[in-house]
Amino acid sequence: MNPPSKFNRPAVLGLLWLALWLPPLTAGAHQEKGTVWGFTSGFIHPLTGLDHITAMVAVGLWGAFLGAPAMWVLPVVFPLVMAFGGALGVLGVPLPGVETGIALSSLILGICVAWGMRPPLWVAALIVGTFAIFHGHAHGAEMPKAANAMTYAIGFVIATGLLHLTGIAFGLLVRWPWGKKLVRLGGVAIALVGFGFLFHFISA
Amino acid sequence: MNALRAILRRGLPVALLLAVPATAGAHTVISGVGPYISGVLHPFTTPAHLLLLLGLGLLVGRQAPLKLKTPLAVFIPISALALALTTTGLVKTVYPPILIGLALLAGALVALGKPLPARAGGVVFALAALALGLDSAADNATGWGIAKTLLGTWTGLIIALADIAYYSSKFNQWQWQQVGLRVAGSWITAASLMILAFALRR
Repeated sequence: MNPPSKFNRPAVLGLLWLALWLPPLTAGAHQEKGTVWGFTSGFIHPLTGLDHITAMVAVGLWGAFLGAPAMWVLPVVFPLVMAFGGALGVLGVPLPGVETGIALSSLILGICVAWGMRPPLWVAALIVGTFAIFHGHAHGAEMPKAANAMTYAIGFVIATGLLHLTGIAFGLLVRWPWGKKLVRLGGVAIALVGFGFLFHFISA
Repeated sequence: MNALRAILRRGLPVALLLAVPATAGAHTVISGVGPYISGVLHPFTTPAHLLLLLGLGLLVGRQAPLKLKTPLAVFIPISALALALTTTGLVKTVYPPILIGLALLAGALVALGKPLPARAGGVVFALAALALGLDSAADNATGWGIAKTLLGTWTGLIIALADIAYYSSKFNQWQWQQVGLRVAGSWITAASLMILAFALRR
């Protein structure tokens, strides 16, 4: 494996500090809002669903696990493709199996982290990008409810990015042997959550 | 100077054609502050403008060493011209997808991390200056109030662009910082794409 040696110690410590603070923020935000209003609602939206959270964190985790350049390519690819999916959702273009796709994203990405898969970068980007379309479509389809579409979009993109950073920060632990086990364990947990959601949708 | 003239000659008619009456960016005087400060605050309180300025600032700041002179040499006079044009009443605001489209372009260029040719950069900054200026008409002011508000907006636009470029260049020393800038560019692109879809849907 290639440790992220080009990343300096303050950066790693800073991201770890971020990881310590972000989970309580996300945990406290798991409540449904009746109406979507601007930035706050956009920011909260990705944090209100465990399926979204686990997939976003998994993208960061996998990126960190793969090391540079995947560490930054995946979190760059995800929002770009997610926005494309979001545009489809906003424009009312139907996409079958959105919820199943989101559940699958947690399952597959969790397995990738747990297994420590190291495909070529383009394959990893393709996997992440494919799932990003489902997440984006789900966000986009709900976006017209927002009072201010602009601040809603900015809010939810920032929240998504911060979830990626949380995953990256946690994933940087792979430079230590115990951290590698912990990260893989995180992948197992994410895959289990994804499996739970998938089972729920299939059985419903 | 010739390049500036060429940009003005080609860019101005295009921008005027794209400018349509709308209500998105034109500002009102903020209560509690004078017209000048209200103008200064306008670019910071209009999300579309701030998104575009962020994209442009990062675009300049990510290139080392920092070269502010060229983009500002285009941005400052054209934004002044565009702000002055708003007083004629011909243009009230700019069609919102233009501003968002420019933000999308700037964000995508930051995310891609490719060096921008000087001439293409000049065109982007000229169009952005035109769009931002034309979209900042001082609606609720009269007489000297209009002049003060527009002068404030001009100051605010320059401060925002120069500051974002300067501080993002300071945040461009380590590899993880450069990655952070590209991630920020992808966020701007993603947000812009979503907003653009929403605007086009309407």
